[in-house]
Amino acid sequence: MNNLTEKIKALIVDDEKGMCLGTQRILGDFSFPIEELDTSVNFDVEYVCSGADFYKVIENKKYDLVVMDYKLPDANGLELLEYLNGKGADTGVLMITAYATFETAVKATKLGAYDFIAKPFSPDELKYSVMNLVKSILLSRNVRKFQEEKKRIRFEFVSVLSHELKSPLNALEGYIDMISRYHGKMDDSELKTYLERAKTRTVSMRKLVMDLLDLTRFESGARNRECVDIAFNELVSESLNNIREEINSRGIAVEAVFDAEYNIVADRTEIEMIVNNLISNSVKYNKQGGRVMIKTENKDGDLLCAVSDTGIGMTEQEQTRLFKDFSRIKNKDTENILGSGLGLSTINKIVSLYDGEITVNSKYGVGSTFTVRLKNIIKEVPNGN
Amino acid sequence: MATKILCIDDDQDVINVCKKVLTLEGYDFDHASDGEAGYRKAKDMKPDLIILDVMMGNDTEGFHAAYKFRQDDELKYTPILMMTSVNQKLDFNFNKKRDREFLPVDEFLEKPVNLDMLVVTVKKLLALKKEQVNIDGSK
Repeated sequence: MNNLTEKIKALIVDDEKGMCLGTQRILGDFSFPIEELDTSVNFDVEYVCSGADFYKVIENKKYDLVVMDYKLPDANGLELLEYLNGKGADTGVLMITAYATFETAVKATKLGAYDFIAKPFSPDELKYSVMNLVKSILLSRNVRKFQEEKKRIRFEFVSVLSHELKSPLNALEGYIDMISRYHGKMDDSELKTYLERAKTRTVSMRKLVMDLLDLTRFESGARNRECVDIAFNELVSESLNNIREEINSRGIAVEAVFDAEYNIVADRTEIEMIVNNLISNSVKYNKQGGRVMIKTENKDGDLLCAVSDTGIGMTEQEQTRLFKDFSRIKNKDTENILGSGLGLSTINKIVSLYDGEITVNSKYGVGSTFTVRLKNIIKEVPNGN
Repeated sequence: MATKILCIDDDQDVINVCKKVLTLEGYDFDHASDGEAGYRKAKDMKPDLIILDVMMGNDTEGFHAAYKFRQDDELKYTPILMMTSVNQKLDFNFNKKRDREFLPVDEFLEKPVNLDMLVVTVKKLLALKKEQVNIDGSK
């Protein structure tokens, strides 16, 4: 299925008007698909009959393709090719000549001509050469576009990362500076408060670095994924046990509901990351004495796991930024909660490895429910469903 | 009556440090954590100086807050000290010299803020006369 059409702007340069008209007709009727780009190509063809006219039109318009006679009365193809190169034009050149010699072919190729065809040529020969040339132009443009996009994303990531790393350093420097200048005017309890804040920022900076390592590990694909049998219910219990102390100290009641014994086939580290993150968030962003509910079900062979809390919740605007790298909801409720803003974006990336999705349903001040759906990973459900 | 300073920044630690230092220097200190809350607090307390962070909820919240203060008849002539992390986000092309020309603020300080500079700058801005305040980015 071709969703897009790419109109190639072509220019024919030949002193024989009959050749120009013939080529114009052939290309004007020509169309072909490029499957890799999900695109079909057709042509918008103009022609000029001299070098002088070529220089004129090329000044005002960019062409994707030039079909050029090597020998013109007032110029030769190599000159025109050099001129095009000098303009840095992203144009593919197909050279046509009656006098193709090895030497001119090498010269022209060195100057960037993509291909040669010798006169007389058949319509099919022309179409074949043009098709290869256009494919090559469009594919290399596409590669360039991806590379630029990649660079931009990387730049943005590093920008935000440097901001996130500088901000705790600024805080630490502020405290150190203040304590060294004014410590004689502070009492012990004040001093202790500031040192504790400095410590908190240090811990959160370390967490950021650790989360960053996790994220890059998953993103780079450098990790060897190993799909094994996992007893999901057990994994959830283990995850809860890991933060039992925090759950107890904050007086949070946890309820885990499984309507069956879930056995899944997946990478253990990845599933642990998802479950640990969601459960830890539901406790971290909860209110003192709040509740956490974990519900698992089998939805047409997909594993659906929902973690709900009665915590601080989020506004709709806050929810839109949630899964982006380094996105942290900053407000009075969260200022004392440690977080790198990378947890959910990492989960989001892992979930996509399972062709799944993560969704959120939240109400400010009431609580949030995060639901993860992982496709086709349930191995067996002995108790039915 | 002591001189009043309002600090608007979403970083708790910047607030802590400014609060301690400026209180020790003899000023009345209050704070807010976003532009909107800062504006409400400023309307209420009528500070003699506003210290304003650039990047809070979004990259330019501080700028918008600054414009809002300058459009308010009661707060128009309150000197503004803007705290920035220049190049904090590399793509955020902030230029102190250039932006001073159109930003209606009176001084910029870069984070991490040198505390001597903070105290000196605060004193300098508090000494500004009404007509010296940069209300339209022209000073």
